[in-house]
Amino acid sequence: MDNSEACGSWRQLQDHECVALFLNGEQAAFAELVRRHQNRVFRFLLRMMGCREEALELTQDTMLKAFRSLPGWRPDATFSTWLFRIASNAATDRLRRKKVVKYVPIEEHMDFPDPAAGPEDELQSAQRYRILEAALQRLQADYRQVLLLRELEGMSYAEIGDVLGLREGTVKSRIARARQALLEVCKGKI
Amino acid sequence: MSKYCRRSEELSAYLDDELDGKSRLKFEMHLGGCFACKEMLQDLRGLQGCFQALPQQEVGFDLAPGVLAAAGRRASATKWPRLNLWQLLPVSFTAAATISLGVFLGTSLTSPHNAEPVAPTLAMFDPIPPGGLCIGFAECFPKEKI
Repeated sequence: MDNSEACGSWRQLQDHECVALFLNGEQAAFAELVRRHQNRVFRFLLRMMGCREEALELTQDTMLKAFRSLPGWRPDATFSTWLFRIASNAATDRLRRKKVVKYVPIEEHMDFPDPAAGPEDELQSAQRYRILEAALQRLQADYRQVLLLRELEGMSYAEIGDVLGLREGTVKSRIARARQALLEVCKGKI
Repeated sequence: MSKYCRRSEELSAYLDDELDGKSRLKFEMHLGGCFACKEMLQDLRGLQGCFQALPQQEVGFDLAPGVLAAAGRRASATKWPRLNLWQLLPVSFTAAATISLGVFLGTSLTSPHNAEPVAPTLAMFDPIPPGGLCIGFAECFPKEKI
């Protein structure tokens, strides 16, 4: 079997199957897990840290910690939830050690488009996304964390609770407050 | 007075489809008559749309080889056996006893047999210091019979 065929066969396996193979000594199975999840973890860490180099470093650290801790993974949590827990803790630890409050200026007042509207001007869209990215960086870390997991990763409140070690009620109220804070920043009301 | 309705937390959960059936129906009834919630719902939906359309950045290369290499380096670096200090205690005692016995035997075998223990004397009051030449008192020399 050549390399391309080997990669194709790995892709057909589910995460828990790759984990089982890895625990039986198949390192290529872990490599497949890394390839599957590295971009998601990277995007999350990039928006948590606001810096590409740091996000890349933490992504590698996350995968390395996953490699060492995989024997302790229990199937009651999905692999991706478990992986995001490691990534989230890594980001929180790094931000806590840095203790830097990032001030990112918001370029202009941002109006939210009506999602039912027609095609938008590309330039306006690019500006809008830059504003949103900047607004996210202005939020406190725990608000940013829940918003990214909910809005970008599409996790349910229960899954977010698993990742962050919070009760669902806490996740619900934190997301609501995070959204209010983001609206305040984006609408220039601060 | 807050610009947000006091039920804004429910609004957020409603947007995420995280309310159970009964709560959802009750909230929809409230939404029908609350301008603040309607406005906020529109804003939150717009915000969601922006999130969905954010650029999907990527790492740009395969992290797997580097991660596996780093994991291999750490595994070989930790191959030294971990020492238990309590296990070393009897070994330490044995070593100390052996060394002490060796010193004792060495001292007793190499020192002279008739050596008398040297006691401190009143030599410090002698007119001639230790190792010094006799200054020739007559009583020091035996009288020769001619």
